[in-house]
Amino acid sequence: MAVEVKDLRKTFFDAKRGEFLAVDGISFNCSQGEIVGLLGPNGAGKTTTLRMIATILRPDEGTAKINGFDINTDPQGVRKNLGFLSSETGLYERLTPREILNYFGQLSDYPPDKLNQRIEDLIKLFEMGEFADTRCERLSTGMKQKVSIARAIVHDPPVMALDEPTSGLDIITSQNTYQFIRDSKAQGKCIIFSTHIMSEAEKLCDRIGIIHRGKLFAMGTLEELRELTGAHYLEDIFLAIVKEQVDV
Amino acid sequence: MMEFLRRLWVVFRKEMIHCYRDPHVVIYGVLFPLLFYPAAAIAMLEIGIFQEGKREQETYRIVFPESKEPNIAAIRDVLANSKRGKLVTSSDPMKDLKDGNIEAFVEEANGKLVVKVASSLPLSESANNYINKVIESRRMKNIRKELADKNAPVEVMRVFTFELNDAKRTKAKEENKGGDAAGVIFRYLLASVICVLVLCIPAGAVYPAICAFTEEREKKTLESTLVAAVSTECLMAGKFLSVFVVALMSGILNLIGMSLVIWLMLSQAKELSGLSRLSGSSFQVSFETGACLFAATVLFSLLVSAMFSLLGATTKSFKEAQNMLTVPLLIFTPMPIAGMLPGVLLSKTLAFVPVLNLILWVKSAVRGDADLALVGIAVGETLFLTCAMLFLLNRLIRTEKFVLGDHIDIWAPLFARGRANGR
Amino acid sequence: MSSSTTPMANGKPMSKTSIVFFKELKEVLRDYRTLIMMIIIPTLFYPAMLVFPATFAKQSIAKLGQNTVKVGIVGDCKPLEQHLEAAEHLKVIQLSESDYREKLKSNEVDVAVMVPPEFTEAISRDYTTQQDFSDLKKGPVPALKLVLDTNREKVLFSMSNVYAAIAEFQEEYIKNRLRVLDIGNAWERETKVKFDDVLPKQSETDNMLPQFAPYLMILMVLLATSYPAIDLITGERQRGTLALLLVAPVERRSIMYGKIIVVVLVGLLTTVLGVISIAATLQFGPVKSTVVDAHPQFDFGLTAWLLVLFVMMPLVVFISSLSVFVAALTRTFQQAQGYLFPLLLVTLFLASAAQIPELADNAFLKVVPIANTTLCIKQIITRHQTWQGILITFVSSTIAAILLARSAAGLLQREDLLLGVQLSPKKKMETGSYSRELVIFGGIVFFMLFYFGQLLSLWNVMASLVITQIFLILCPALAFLHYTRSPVLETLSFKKPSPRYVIAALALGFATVVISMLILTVQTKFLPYSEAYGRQMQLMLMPPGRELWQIILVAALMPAICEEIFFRGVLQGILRKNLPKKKLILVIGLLFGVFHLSMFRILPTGLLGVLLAYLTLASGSIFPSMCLHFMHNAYYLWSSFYKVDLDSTLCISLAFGGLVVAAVALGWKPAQTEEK
Repeated sequence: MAVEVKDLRKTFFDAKRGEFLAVDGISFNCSQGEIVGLLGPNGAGKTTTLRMIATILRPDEGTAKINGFDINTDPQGVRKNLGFLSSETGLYERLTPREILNYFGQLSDYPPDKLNQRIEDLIKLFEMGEFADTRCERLSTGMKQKVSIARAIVHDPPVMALDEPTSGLDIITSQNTYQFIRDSKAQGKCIIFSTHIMSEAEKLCDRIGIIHRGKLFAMGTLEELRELTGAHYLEDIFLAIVKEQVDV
Repeated sequence: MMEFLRRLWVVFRKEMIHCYRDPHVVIYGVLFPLLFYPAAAIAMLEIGIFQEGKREQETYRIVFPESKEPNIAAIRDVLANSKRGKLVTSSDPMKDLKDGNIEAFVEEANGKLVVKVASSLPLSESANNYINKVIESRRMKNIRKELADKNAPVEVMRVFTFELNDAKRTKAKEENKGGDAAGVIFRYLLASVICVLVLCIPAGAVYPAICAFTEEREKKTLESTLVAAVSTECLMAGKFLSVFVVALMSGILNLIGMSLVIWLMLSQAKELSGLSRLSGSSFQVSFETGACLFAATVLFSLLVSAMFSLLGATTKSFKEAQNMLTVPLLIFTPMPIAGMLPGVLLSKTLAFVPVLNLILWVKSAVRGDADLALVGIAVGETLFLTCAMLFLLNRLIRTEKFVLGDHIDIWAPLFARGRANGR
Repeated sequence: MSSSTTPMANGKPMSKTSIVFFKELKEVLRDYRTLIMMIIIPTLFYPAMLVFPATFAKQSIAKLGQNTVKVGIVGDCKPLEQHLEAAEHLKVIQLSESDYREKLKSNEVDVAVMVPPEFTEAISRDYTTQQDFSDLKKGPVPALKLVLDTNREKVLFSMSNVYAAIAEFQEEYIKNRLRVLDIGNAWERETKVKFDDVLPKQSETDNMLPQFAPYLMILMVLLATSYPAIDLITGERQRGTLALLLVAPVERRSIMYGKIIVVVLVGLLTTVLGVISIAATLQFGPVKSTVVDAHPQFDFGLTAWLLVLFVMMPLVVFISSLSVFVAALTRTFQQAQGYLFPLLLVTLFLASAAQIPELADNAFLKVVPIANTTLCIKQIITRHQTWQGILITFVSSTIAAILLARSAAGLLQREDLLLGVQLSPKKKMETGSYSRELVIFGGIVFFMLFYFGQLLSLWNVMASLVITQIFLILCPALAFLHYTRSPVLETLSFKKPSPRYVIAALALGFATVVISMLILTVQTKFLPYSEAYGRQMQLMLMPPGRELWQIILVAALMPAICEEIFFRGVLQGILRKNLPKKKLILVIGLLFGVFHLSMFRILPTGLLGVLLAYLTLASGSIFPSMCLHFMHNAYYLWSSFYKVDLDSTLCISLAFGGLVVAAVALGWKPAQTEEK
């Protein structure tokens, strides 16, 4: 298994809600060449889960292994094997895409002699040739998204954690992202991907996990979920599962 | 007119609420100084006590050749046995004195004693005072004794007294050894009060200026504001007013805080250390001085608010706004120190230097020699600059450039032309 | 699998910190507009700020330049007039009552001497016999009034000539009177003393350059470093690029160090440019003749400036780390702006140390960062520097800088700062992690003690002691206890103590007083305080006209209860959950020492605090420490009330006896457990 998440828990506190479990014992696996989607509304705990997997936050309990590296004991190993992308991440405005790729390549210990070639490949792959040497502050949203994706995979990680990568993007830019996810799958990468858009999950994911209020209620392929709930559309499946669980 | 005022109030209130909803501004702008001033005052007092304690422990190395003359020999004995005097020998006393190896060199010349000191060296000045005190008290002791033997009153020694009065102040100023020190400390306190004011008024104005002008663009609320049925004058005035009020409040609160701390420390520490030498009257601030300090604070707040509003309106992002607004801060900060130097006075030239002229006005009020014409220039110029900047700001807000915001920069207000929306 | 599992396969491994460093440097340099504003403006503007006022001041004082003081006499007194006329450097002008103010204003006279008729009468009187003096006792002493414009510095400086002449005049009369009494030689016999200054006296203006230059340089560095720091850390957070860095396989510390080094570099650049610019302005500017040549006592040579750069170096690291530290605490630019004001205030306060003329050579300030550097630069320019002074300044600044840089580098590891994660009250209570609340609480208590406590003590000393103890110490402590919702009795250690701890506490009471006194005696050698301060402290505790029992009630019993509940109860009860024992005792002791708000009392009271904290911790009860605190204060008050000599052999042996008893009482336990 490329990713094994075991019983992750994280408590947050704020003045209004008091103490609450943002992530409440989430466990799942993901193997190479598989896309796992975490589906849930805003505030369900998707981002916190992915942040813990990406070692940005420390879990209160539980752990996860990325390509065999434990997020608690070997965060450096995890970071080397993980590409992380979220809708909120920005770019250094005064650096060019090429410089950004170079920077993160170096930071991730990508072999220096191969790094330039890797960057050239990525620039070609994402068709960034025209603007590879323009400062990021002058790029359009679509261009920035390409750079962001390229940045996330510059060290060629076997696992990718994508946190709502398409939120706020138009159709064409989103298509680029989808294409990239499919290509990665074809290359045998393991992709964990969170979204609140049903159609996106339906289209891309091999398995879908339904998250609500910090809990993972169900996980399986679309077919399995349909069988479980008897509903056809993912939207209905989601509502059925969430309703059933919340009622109980 | 009433309608205008009502709208003005609406705009003003929104800006104020918006500003003060961020508790950081309140905490760091207001509460921090209230804690910092006492801490700073205590630190200064402690250093003073330490300094005084060290002075009490000082011993003075004095070269005093032996003498056959009985009086001089007696004085030498008194010095040698005194608490802080220490007699040493030297082959070249003058050189040692200049090098700071000894503090004083007492020489006998034609039956007179000449005490040589180098007052610019650390200990020498106080050695001078100490030797003087020791000799003087010996003389007085002897004479008193003889007077008592003769049954004569001590008043024989007091033919007359003299006191020092300031020509420009009605209050008599007592002449004492501490007069100089009091003046130095008073000037230092006044300079630090003005320094902090010059620092905290702009610091207070930065945030509301960014809030009222830059944030509208950065948070994309500018269009809805401009679409609202308010005239640009009203909009601008309301925003400017909020900046002004916050800046002025910041200034006044800091002023009150500092005055309170200084007053408390002085009344608590009258008996203590260096401050005991100071006469209280040196620290009294007359009503005129206070009023003038207040007026200068208001004028400075006006100038700064207008300037920051204008700069805030010409910037596209928070970061740019911060950079722009720091430049005036950079320029203002050293001004009070320059202004407080002895000899720098409100002159025909300096009355035209913005900010510095206000500082010098306060200084001249403290000295009691304010020249009305020069003060008029200072006040007039500040008001003129404020109005000019507000005029430019108003012109800028009406332009297309301001609405689109892409090509706006620091020079924009000067070249602003045409009306975007005909209002 | 990609090659990412085999990092640094071939090429040279490049330290992560330097990768971060070069990227940040590139970014900072590309933001050239900020850089120009923050560096070029100060380097151009500040030297001008430094030099031109000096010239101005110089010229305006030179205008007043004069050696002779013009003395105007109002009133009629020939002897005085003649005497002053004969004196050196004085010129006498006869004035009338009506025009002297005008003449003073127009500077035709520098000082007016007002001679009242009774003065003339008094000095013209003949004293021939001893009887003549007896009515001297009755009448008031006639007074001369000197009127002058105290704004005219030059006149003030040369007033000493006038004073000397007047004093001499008086001397003549005293001598005459003594002669009548047949003891004229009592004065004559005394040798005349003259004071002579061998070095030129310095005026305030002269010191302006060395006072002002270090202040400006520190201001320059702070402003130049704070903006890159905010941009590199707060900006990174606000633009959403921080998460990228956090998932890159880099130690969070290396990220911070990379950033700190960039900020340091900017600071160093500013310093070097600033110093070059100031030096060049002084050397080649139009002011060379008025400033440099007029002050041969100052060192504006190359070596001096190199020394200045040398002592500035650790300070640049310190200020840069400070900027990074503050920036790391903020999440938005607005917040950063808010933090900048206090930062400026504190830094400029410390930087202005050089402007107080009296502080030229203060050993204590040599270890206070920023203040030590300003003083050191001032000394270098005035040629008063010593090698050990420079070395101590350099070393202490370096240590401070390293400590600050280390703690700044650690800030990126904290989730609460990183993503605004908060702890719940339950978790806080379990772990006792109340550092934030404790800081706020400490601030509030300090605020109240300073403002209300001082106001109260101006009104009534005894009442203020009581009110302070109850309302400013006890009540806040209990309120804080309530806020944390800790169990009251358990936190306060309200428990019946084992009797041996009470015995030890009672026995230690007198010993601690003697030991405190001995510590203070030794401490005074290194950290002297003025005698007036000692008297003031006594007066604070012992207002005259009170009975001993009243004083003991107010200044021993009240603190024993209130302060113990504050420190050994609430603070210790809350902190003991997350601090190891030894650290806890030290922290409580230190806080107790600091609480007395005086550096002279930190050591003795701090040690007492350590002992009290130990007693509470060892016995599990707050009552022994209350006992000891009461006994200590009571014995102290008793000994100062009756002026007992604590230095005497009797006292010291009594104290030693107390120590032995306490040691036996405290050492009982191991023996008991062994028996079991």
